[in-house]
Amino acid sequence: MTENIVQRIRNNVEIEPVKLALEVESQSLSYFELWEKSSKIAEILRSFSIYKKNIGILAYRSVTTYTGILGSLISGNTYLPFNPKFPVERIVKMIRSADARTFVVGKEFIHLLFQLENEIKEEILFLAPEIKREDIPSIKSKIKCLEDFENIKSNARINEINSEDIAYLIFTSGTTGEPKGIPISHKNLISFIDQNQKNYPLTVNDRCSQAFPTTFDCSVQDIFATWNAGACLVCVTESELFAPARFINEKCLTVWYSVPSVAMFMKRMNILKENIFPTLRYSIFCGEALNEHIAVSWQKAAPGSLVINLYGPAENTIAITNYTWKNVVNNSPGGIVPLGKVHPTHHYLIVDDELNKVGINEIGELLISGPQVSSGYLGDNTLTSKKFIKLKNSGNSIWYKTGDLVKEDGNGDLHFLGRIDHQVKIRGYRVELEEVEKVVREASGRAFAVALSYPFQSPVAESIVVVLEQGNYNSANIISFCKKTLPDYMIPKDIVSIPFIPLNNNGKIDKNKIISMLKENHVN
Amino acid sequence: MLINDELKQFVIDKIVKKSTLQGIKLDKIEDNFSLTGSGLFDSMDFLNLINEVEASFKLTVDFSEAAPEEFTTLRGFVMNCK
Repeated sequence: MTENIVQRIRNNVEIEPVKLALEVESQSLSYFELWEKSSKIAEILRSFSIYKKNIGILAYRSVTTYTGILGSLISGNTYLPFNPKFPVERIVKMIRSADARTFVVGKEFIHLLFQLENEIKEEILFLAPEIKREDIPSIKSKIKCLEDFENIKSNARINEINSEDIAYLIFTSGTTGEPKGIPISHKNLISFIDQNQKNYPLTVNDRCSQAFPTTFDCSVQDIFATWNAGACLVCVTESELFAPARFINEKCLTVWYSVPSVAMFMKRMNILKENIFPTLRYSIFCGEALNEHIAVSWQKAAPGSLVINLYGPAENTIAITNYTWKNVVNNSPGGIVPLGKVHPTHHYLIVDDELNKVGINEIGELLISGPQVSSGYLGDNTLTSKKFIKLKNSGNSIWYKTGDLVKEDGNGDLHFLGRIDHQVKIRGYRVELEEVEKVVREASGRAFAVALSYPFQSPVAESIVVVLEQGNYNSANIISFCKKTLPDYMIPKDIVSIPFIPLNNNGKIDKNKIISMLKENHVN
Repeated sequence: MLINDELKQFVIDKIVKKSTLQGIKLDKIEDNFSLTGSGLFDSMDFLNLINEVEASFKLTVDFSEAAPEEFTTLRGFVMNCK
């Protein structure tokens, strides 16, 4: 068996069993207790001969979320996280795409079991380790609940895990309207964890935030970088997530990790006062562009902390570059903090449209090759061959085409300059505008729907606005339809109309012209 | 009308506008109505609301002394706008 993250966690259980591993809701679990609960989930999976399968984690910010994740991995399975805020239709699409039949269930999802069972129409096994039988609704599927788990003995066993086995499966927005699955192997994961630990070492004394939803791949860093180091993972409650200043201080966090939007909200609400976060030693931001002025404000609020910008597509396992803020506004392109340098374990190229390498300070698409690069998209060979390519004179190396336009400066730092396609990020989540357009076309019955990021032409998108040609439609009905299909960050903030949809000389929709038309009509 | 009453009405109008756009029918909007917990306002909407309040009432919002569960309610929001 090759070294993997599960073995690392087991080692920490052996070394410091009573050390705190997890604080969630009002509960605290030591490494021993975390393993004990997770091991029981693994034992039940083994009793059903479930191995190398996708295990759905129908739990959110609860003990079951984390024990379900670890239990899936201990038993040699893959975990597939879900978010109770996602529409059922989207959850079902993800389940079907992953062919998942086994689910670890927390109380956060219990109201959905009946509906999911009806939608999936396959034989399902539910494991509900923290829920009493009397609290489970009447369903046809097999279910193991709290009473069953009390009779299971935990143990130290770990099923065989090979480096190419898939550790987790994460879904992102897809241009076709179907969410696309990205499988990340144990080799991908351990490569990231090791490099991250070299860049920004954690110790057993650290108390690390768990702010990202588990459906966001940065949560994988929260969980496994923390447990790899024998540190304590502190789950941020949903209500505190909005402006977590009080939480950071009350919980004495030493590591904060979130999308930059959280810092931006706190700055705007005048919460980022000088030295408000004396305990922080790392403040890590990822998922979207980090504005230099936000970095300055955060650095003042956490003067003892390194402010770190990470960048990476989910296909490259969480983050592939890192930059430590030097507290100097360099007026970088767009006022955005540099992405920094690519992990030394990887190769990168910045190329033009014909895959020719461009020079220093020239703009091109970033290509990445190395051990963090995923094997491709789940069940989509066409898209995989388009995005994961081989290059001439590069042997059998697979290069991932990020779709991100960057330039490299004289210091070897990369700078983000935009996208080559219509993908935008809303609060760190990837959104393919075509997916939103497809749903609005269905809802409105219109031939054309144009989704734009808002504010228009800003390097940082806040929301989505959809433009339709004037005519009879009901905005409320369209938005209601979107809510049944799309997660909240993809739902248009507004539906606006213009007299006609302009086309450019190539017959394509002219988005620049549309934006001009909107501005003329004072839709800013 | 006191500024707090005006401000409260201003926020209620925004709530009604958003619920109408989203096709959601609201009963009476109580003081403990949660702007974010209702699902009507995400974090970005909340910031936009702050911008609009500051511009319309010529005041500065400072939530540094308040807890999120407090300033995201209708009453808490109004009380913390100084």
